[in-house]
Amino acid sequence: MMEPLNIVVCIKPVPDSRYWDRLSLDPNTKVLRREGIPIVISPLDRNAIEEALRIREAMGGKVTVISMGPPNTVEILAWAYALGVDDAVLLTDRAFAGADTLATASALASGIRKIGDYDLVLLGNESLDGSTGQVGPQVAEFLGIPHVTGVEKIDFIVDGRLRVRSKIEFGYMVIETGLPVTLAVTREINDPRVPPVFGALWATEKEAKQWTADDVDVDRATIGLDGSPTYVPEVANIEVQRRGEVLEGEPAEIARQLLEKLRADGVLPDA
Amino acid sequence: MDTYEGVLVFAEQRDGKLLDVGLELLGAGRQIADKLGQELAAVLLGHNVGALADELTIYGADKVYLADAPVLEVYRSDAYSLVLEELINKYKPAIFLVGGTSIGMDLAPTVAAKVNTGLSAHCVGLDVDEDGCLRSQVPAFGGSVMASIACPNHRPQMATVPPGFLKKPEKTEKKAVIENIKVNITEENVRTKVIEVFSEEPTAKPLDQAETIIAGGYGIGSKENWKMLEELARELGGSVGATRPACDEGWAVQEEQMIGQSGKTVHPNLYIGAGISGVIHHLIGIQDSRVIVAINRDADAPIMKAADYAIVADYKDIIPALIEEYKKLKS
Amino acid sequence: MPFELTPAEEMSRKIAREYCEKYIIPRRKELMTDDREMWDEEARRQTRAGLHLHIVPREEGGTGIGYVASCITIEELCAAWPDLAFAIYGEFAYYFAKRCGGAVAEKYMPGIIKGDILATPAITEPSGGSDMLGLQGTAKKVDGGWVLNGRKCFQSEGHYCDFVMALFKTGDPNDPKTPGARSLTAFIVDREFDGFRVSRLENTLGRKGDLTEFVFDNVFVPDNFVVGEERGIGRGLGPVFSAVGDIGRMTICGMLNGITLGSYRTAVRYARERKLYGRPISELQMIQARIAQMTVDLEASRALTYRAAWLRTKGIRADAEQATAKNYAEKAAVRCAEHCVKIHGGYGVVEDYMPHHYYRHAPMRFGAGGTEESLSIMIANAALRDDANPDLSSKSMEQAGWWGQLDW
Repeated sequence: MMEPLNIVVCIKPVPDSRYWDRLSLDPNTKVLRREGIPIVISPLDRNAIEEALRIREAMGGKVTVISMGPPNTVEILAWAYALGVDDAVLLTDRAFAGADTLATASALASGIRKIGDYDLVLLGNESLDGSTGQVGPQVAEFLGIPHVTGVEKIDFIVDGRLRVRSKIEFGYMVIETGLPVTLAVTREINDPRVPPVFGALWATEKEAKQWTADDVDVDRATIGLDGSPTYVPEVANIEVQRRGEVLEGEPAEIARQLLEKLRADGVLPDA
Repeated sequence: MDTYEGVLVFAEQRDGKLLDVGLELLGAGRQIADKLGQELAAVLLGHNVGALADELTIYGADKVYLADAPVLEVYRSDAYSLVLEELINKYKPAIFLVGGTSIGMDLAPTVAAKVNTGLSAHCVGLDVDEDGCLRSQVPAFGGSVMASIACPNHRPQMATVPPGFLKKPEKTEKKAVIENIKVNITEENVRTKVIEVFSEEPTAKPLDQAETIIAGGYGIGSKENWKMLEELARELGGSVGATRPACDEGWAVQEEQMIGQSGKTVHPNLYIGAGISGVIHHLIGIQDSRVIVAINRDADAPIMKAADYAIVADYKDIIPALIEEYKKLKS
Repeated sequence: MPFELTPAEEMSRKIAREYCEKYIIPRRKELMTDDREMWDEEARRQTRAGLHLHIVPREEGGTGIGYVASCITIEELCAAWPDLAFAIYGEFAYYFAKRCGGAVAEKYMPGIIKGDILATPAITEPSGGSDMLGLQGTAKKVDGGWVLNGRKCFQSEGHYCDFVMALFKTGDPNDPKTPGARSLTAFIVDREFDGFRVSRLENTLGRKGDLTEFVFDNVFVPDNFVVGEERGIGRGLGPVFSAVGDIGRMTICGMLNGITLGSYRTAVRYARERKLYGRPISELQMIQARIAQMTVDLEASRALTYRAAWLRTKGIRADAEQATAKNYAEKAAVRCAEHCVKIHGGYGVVEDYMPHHYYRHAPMRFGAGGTEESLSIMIANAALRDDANPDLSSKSMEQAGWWGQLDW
């Protein structure tokens, strides 16, 4: 019999990728304009929530989600409640804003420490928008616990120990670790559920806890803009220099034209 | 901060073989080191990898740091990051580059957190600005935007670069000096155990070495139709690539065939993309192709502007015509 | 009624949409086939996901959010695919079992809440649907129960259901002891009962084999499966009307509004994207006129449906409101489906595109939940009956001069 686990899932609010063609770059501030684009839970974080729920169903325990973002992030925490998590925490404060992955990890770690008594930290291997994959290992570092990335399977072997399968190029590694541990999961780990109908009640009746930088025990120098070693001084539109020659006509004609040009360019194989 | 100098490159090895990405980073690293007038070093971790260290010495580095110990035989975050942390604190490189393999993407953020520095991921360009600071070029999501990231006040400045993106440097006459590093950690410092490692050789020629690539996207529509691309590839003696949505549909194998920022970077002579809209993540992966041909029903698809030859038509009409005309040409 | 949906009702729409985006929309092409196995699998997927539980109170295992949430859920399901609202048969099953209580509830309720059990009303006969008193199926009293004989037809998805609520004649409408409606009794018939069988599946505008005919061949039904048991004999119309009104009409309004909603969404999107004469067709006034009509239809139909649903959730009788909603929804669906097809031009009739399917399925519900004709009579009676709108016959309005001739 395994002990029930206290699981914390880090989730990130990202602009819904179906609306990405509406994103625009403000030419003056060089900031990406996101108004009017709905936010969703980053897809791999959905896999993380799903895995947490499955572990809770198998072994008992509690699932808490935590996120860092502006106040409207409560929308995605409502969705997490709809999926069935027990508790939700939002770290929201101007002091957290402008964070790169290191500063984000510091903030999340301070929130996780305040939640306390955790056995397992789960999150998606990379987020939809930044896709650096860096926050998982860095949260683990701030918490002082081990981590494994690219996790596609989790097996509990005995109390307090587990074996995970971590994806590597053309294969995998099976890694054994104790608890607590941070696991960054891939999309192959499971098929995330749709919220059950009761989610409509959970989402509207439960409210996320909101913590500011004062509510958590964190060194202010490690969060937000001040805590970010990297920053983006410049964003530029990518100039693509290609011929852009449009070929027209009947398919057979286009094919002939194209092959001629490719041969002239010296890139047509065997011709 | 001023005491930090030099460029350090993580030379990854697996199963007793050096990965190309480390060599590719040495090529870029050499250029950066020359611009700064500083030294380039490689660091190699493993067990019984002396021969690999020798191999490394002729790719442009001034020095190769070799950390050889049983505890480093197989990659584990704790083991490798602790050794690198010690090395970085001792030798203080200004820049540390890591290849964006699955291991590199795990190792780099761990080290960055340990030494409290900044890390840019998936960099497709590395440069140095007037202040001698590293600038990492990273495409930003959704649109055709490139962010230039700097790490002004922390050292070393770290970046991960996708494998296959940079060119492997030529071998040099001059050999680097090998310096053995004392490994001060033991199994007690490592909190995880590796139970099993499984990897197999890919069956087809790796896409990043192909000279002709036919790629398909979501617009292909079905597994049945995908076969058309495979036929054209067979005719031209090329390989088949795919975008992420096409892999999601199961028409192609993500591992081997996905081209894009988080997939493969390719440099063929000829790239033909059909049913692909051309989001920036994919375009980044093909931008080094000599000639790009795009086939799409939508004249406004981003890939059409990024191509040398743009064909506004249904690929179902064009691909069979290409196959037929090519057959005629050959005979 | 408040003009806002509650947060829980808004959330129920988002959840229904996620369900559709995962389980229905990627499989639209599949849903066009007659693959029996696939439909068998689909029949209980929605109820197992609990999509029928909005009308079930929380203490009984449901969400208790109410009839509006149920209409919204079915709306989204039918916008995703016009005839895939199997949650309806879970709602019927709950309603029947709850109404009966006793042995029927004991047998079926746990399975209903879990989503394994579906049911449908069995009322319409070849002799006519609207003409209930003219029905021919008979029930004869025997020891311990009744023996049923007859045929019921045009039951939607009947062959997937585990039990039915069937209306049979236990008396003679001309007999003074059982006059008119007193001759009718409602029975719960389990599909496993001897003598009950599915005899025909009709191929319809919607799909092949979605309307069922049942044959009752000397089917024995025990006393405790009479709806209302002893007191229910001769009182079959009550439960039947309630079920048809509350569940039947409301869910069918949901289905029809789903077709209207789907047509509206598809048409608006297409109008924005499709270019003719060098610009989007949304700039052409005739297209704008169609979109305007669809918007009005959608808003009006939803308003009528949600109002009736809201009244029912509050436990207020809303027969006329339900009839009005269905009457309107049916016409709105047909109109909007046609607008949608026309806006799509040639593509509108091609089976690879949704307008084709909205248009084909819109007429499927003409008979269900009451025909336009019978509902119109109901609505008219509700306005014209002596006890309806009493102030129109009152002295006070007359004296106030409402009806007088204009005195020049």
